[in-house]
Amino acid sequence: MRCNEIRELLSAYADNELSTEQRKLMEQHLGECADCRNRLTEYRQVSQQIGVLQTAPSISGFTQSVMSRIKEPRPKRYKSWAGTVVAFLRPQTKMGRLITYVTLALTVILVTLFAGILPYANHRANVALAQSIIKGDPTIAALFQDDDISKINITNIEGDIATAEIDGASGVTVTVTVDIKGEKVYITTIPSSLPNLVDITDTDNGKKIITFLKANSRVDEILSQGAIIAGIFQSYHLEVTSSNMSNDGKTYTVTVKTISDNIQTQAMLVTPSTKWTITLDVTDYNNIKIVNITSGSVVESTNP
Amino acid sequence: MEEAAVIASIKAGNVDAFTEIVENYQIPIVRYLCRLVGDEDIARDLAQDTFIQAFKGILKTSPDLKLRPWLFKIATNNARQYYRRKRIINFIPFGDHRTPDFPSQYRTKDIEENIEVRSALRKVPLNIRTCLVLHFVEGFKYKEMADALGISEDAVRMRVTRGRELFRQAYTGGGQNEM
Repeated sequence: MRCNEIRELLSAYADNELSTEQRKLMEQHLGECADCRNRLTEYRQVSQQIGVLQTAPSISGFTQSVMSRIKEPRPKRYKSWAGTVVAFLRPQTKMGRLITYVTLALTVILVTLFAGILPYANHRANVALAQSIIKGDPTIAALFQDDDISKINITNIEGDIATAEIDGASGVTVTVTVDIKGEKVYITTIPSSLPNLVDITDTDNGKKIITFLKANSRVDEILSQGAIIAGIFQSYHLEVTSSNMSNDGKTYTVTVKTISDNIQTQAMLVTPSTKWTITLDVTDYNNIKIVNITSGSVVESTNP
Repeated sequence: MEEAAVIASIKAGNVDAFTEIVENYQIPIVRYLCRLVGDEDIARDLAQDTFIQAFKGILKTSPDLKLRPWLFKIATNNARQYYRRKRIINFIPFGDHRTPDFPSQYRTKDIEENIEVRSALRKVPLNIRTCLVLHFVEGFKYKEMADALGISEDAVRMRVTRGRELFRQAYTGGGQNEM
């Protein structure tokens, strides 16, 4: 046996983890090799040294605090809940059977009815919801601040995403998509008269149309999903904490917080809950550029 | 009660039966985590999380569950996660500069040795340290360690050997920085 190659076997021998046959071979080798005998002594010393750490830690109150954390969120219900289900599915009495069958029959009828009505009702509800989200959206309000919204046409709904045309009294039409679940409005097209987000037009009826596009949810969208930011923050999720458009409408400043459980240790200076301030040049709406990024005091730590 | 009977009772909805599991395993689990992370308070927190996760998970386990390696597996994952978080936090120097658990006036020779062993142990990389602690402190056999860590027995044997050598280097002088 070559001594260097059998170190693992020697260690396992010290731990009494060898087969009878291996043990015999090892003992034979140990009889002839002083180096391995010395190493065996060292290995055994390590067992004893680490063994001193067997002292028991203090655990006063530990069980109670675990059990109260287990019981605290919600009291147990498995038993009674499961019992009810079983009693319902496997009725033992005549009355029980009657209840089960009537309930099942009613369920089938109601489900059939609702299945017919539901999509329609759902569509109606989504149209109303999309309209109210648009009305409540600050971007749209800013866009139409001196104009009146005469009509909101929901042109399409697919899942939670609605498409809508918003007509201003002055004749301007803005197309948006609405994320109904997330209650967000994204502007998809705005009139060509507003390429730089600033425009003032007088109309025949004496009203002014759109002076200024303020807080812009599309910029937020670009920020959190766009390629510019993705390159910097890699796999980190962002949460926009505040945003602000400068008075001349050329610069948009956003504060974001990185949030992620999925931490990559090699990744640069990014830590969970770091605050970043990003200044963007939005003069050209279709070509938003990053002017400045500052990071990153820790606003909270995950393990204080 | 037999362990299997206790588990069956918990699965049947008897939450209080879990108390027995906590009582039987709290000392080894807290001790194990403490030897891994080097701080009793943190170890107790991680141990609480371990038991709560175990309670949630136990309903889904198969009847032939080996409880001890399974609990230590959850504990090991919690220790790993703790280090992952800690590494990020330490990146901005904010560090964990806690002093050892014993005030100096109470130190005796035994305690001194205990502190030296702990500090040497903490210089051994975590995945090897887990093996050393499971084996030499908690008395796990290689097979049981393989179950708890989800690795082969050969890998266990290799880590224990490597661990012995790294520990010895760290104990007799220096070694690399604590991770």
